[in-house]
Amino acid sequence: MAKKRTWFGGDGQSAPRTRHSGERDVAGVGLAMLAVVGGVVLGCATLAIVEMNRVDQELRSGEIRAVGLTLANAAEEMISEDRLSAVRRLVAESVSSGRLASCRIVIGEGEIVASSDPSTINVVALPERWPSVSHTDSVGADVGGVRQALPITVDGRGTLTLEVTGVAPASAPWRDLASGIGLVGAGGAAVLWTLYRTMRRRMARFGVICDAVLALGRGETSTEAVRLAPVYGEVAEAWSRVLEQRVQWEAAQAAAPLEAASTDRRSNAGGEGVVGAIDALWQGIILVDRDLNVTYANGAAGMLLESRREELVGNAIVGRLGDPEVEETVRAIASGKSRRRSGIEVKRNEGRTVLRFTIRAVRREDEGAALIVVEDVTQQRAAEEARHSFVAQAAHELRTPLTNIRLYVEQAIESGEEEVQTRSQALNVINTESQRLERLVQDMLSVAEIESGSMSVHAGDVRLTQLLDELSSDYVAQAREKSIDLKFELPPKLPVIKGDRDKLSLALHNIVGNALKYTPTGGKVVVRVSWERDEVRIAVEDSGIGIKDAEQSLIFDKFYRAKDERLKDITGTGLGLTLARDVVRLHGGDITLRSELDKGSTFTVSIPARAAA
Amino acid sequence: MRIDEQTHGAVTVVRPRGPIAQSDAEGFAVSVRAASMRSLGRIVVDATDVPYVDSKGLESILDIADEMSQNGQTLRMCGVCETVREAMDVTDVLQSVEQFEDVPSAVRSFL
Repeated sequence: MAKKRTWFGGDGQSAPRTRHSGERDVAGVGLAMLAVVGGVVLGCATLAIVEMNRVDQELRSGEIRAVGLTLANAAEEMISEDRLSAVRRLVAESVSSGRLASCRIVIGEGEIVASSDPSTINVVALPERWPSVSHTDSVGADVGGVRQALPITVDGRGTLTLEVTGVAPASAPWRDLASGIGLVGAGGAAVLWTLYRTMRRRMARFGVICDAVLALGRGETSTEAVRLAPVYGEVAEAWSRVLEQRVQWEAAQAAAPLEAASTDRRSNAGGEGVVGAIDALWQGIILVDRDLNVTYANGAAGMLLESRREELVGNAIVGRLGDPEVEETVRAIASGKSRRRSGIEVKRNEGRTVLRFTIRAVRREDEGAALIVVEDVTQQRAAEEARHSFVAQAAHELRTPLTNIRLYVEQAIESGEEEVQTRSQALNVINTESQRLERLVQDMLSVAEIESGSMSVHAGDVRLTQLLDELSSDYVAQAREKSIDLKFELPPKLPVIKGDRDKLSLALHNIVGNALKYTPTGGKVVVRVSWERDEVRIAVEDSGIGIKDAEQSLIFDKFYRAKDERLKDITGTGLGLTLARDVVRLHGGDITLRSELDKGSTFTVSIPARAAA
Repeated sequence: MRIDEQTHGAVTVVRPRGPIAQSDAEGFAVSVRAASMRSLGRIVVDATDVPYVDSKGLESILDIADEMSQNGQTLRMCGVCETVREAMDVTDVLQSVEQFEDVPSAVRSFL
């Protein structure tokens, strides 16, 4: 079941139920606006009520005045006809209509002729004449309603006053107030609610971002915890981009130490530009100041001086170069005493390594700084030494048969035609030495080819059974001649291997030939062949003179012959085993030796079996 | 996995016999590093008898090549079979090493 995704500010499908800071702001603004609108509404309602009361009073006054005028006209006519009872009945009935609160007709001050309240009448009959009170129509208002005073003039007798009071509508102000507040308030509330909803919807996005920022400020580390729900649309997308940038920034910050370390490593181990190029050199480069402290060293320098670059830089070079002459030269150049470039070769590790130090001043105007270039020339020197040794040994080995040939040629020339036997003997020696010379030259060429890398291996199928049969037949006669018991112990089946048949044959011939050569008469030579899963082993065991322990590691070197008096009458080029080992190694194999002086030797050739039989 | 060492002049030839894979990869790396230290980086890895390499083996080869490149040297390999070459090529490890056809060619490159 998929885990439900949680979002900051909602479930991602609907608007959030909790209010965020933006919404709270909106709510506050909304309340303020509500208060303002309420005040406005209340004020408007009050004004409306006052205005409506005023209008209502004016209307009421007009109405009462009209009733009063009607009553005054009617009462004037009745009083003129002296029908007081009718007047009183008119006044009483005018109140009963419900439109008037009270009505009365008075003479002068306080003499009530007719009244809607009969108990207040204090004039029984109208006098013939009464004093007229001059007055104008007046309108007033009291708590009881609208009061109106109208004159009733009776010709020849005097003027009476008709006082009418209208009934005030008791509930009108509150009705108006309610309707006013209701209408305006409802409208205002509706507008406010719409405004609030709109503002809340808009402000919620900013509010939730504000809350997210506050959460981040409080230490929230999870980006997902402050990611906005998709319901917030573009704002959520923009906020997500900001968060992604934050994540990248944090990653960059987190990686900064690693990057710094990496940069440091590059600056130490590689770097870019010129420094990188210098670090890519296989020659060691070291810069030292006038105090003989190392200011720069590349990786090769560290390796060649069998140290770490970090251990070199900042430390004294003295004691690390391994040769007093080199150090003295560095000291002289670094101190500015000498500006001549110097090259010194130093053998280290008991002569196994040859380093060439080239020391020179860095720049003419910069006194006190020396550049040391360290080169590993071990292989070059080894190759030169081998070449010199080869030439020397070859010259020596060539000189012996050539000397014999020259001597026997001279003997043949001097012997004359009569000394046939002497001439024949000389020619035989010349023939033998020529063959030896040919073998020697051939072996030398083969070794040179291998060492120069120009010898090519023509890989093909090599049937070992056939190869060993030929080897056996080639040496049977020689073994019989020396009364040596030559045996070939072969397994019933041998694989077909990949290799150069001629060269493998040459290598095996050299090894078996050596075994027969260095085994005394009546000895024994056994060729044992074994085949394991991925390797063929051919062991050539003899009961010969054996090899000293000290010489066993040297007999594969070119022209090396064991220092044994018994070998003085045994000819050899000293290249046979060298050639055999190189050929076997070209095929991915090797030759090992186990030997004991005066008891015999066993040479074991191991060759990878590349193909099944 | 058997790892043989031969000396050709001043160059040490390290010859692993078997696939460079799994735990053997670590042994291979240790042997090559040790030989490199002894001969100051004059080493050749003869991969004639390496039929295949796995990711561990590739990682070991790459690590050694990187370490040597920091000293301005390059890991030299020879006798790399097609299977191994392809694996190294696909994973870009091949770019970090120098290849030679055989040991003499690789040894000569030190001259």
